[in-house]
Amino acid sequence: MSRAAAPCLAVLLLSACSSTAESDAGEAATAFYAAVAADDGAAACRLMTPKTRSEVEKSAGKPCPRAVLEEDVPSVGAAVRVEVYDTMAQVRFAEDTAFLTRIEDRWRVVAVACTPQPGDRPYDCQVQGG
Amino acid sequence: MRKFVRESSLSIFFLGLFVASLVGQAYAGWKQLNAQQVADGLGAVTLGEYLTSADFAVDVTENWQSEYLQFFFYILMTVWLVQKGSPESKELDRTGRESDEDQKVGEHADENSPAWASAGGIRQWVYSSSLLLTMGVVFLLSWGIQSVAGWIAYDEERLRSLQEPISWSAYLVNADFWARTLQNWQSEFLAVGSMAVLAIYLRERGSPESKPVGAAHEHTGVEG
Repeated sequence: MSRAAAPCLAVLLLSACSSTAESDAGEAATAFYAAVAADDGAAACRLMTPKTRSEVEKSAGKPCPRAVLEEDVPSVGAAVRVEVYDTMAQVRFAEDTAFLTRIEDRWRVVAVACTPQPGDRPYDCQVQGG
Repeated sequence: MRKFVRESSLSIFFLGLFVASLVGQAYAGWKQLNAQQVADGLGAVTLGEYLTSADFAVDVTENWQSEYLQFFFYILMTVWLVQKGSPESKELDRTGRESDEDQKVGEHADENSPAWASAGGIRQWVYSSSLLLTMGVVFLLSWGIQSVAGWIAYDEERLRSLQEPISWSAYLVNADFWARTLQNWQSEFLAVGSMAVLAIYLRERGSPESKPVGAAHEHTGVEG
């Protein structure tokens, strides 16, 4: 069993884990990177949580669609691993790691451009909200 | 119907309390989670989502497992261990599994005994421990579900903090799993131990959990 599938299968025993949760989270993350790569800041911002949008605007002093394109968001290939734990998801690419949350049945980007830190410390993310 | 209610009033009362408490826990837990979600700048969840979440499952099952473990140990240990003066204990000279005659099993079963009490073999063995086995199975199932739900809730929290999730096997030796487990175990063991001791000296007139008010403190295995 893949590590990605394990949480979802386990949750099926006790909760309504959507069988498409992982693919939905993976697609949302992939769509975000694709929007940034296509210079479509508005589309990228629609895929972020309100708090992440607000943090990006605050740190750049610009509207989100312009500010997000100035962030150091890498280009990515296909997602290599998706893990979903209830309302949170981690989507791993060869080039980056993204964190997403589910808001009203849609996956939204919480943080991207994340670098793992030594020990048990949180990822250091260039773009992050709540 | 009225006769059934009167003759089952104890179980109906506690079933009602259980359902009311579970509904209250679900509503309060849902409000608590959404307050945290808003504070973290995340989306609110519906009541239905909360009821099927790992957060709710772990909060329910961590209490269930400890209750059934408490009864498992109490049923098992009171076969051999006694407490002088306690109505929770059997008489001091009756420790152990007792004779077939005392237990009305095999050829000593009477016409009103359950069928498996006189069946012999595996059926008699199973029925002779059916209360303990049931408590043990419910304990293991609840504890197992707690471990899975607790792991998912823990990793959800780790992702919220932008930390790497951990595996289920790593969660089984994680402090979160054992803190949830042991905080429930200690309270159950304290409650059952204090009941066994306090009932030596204290009384509740009319309750089968107490000795008769006038019974001597040193009388063991006497219920009022």
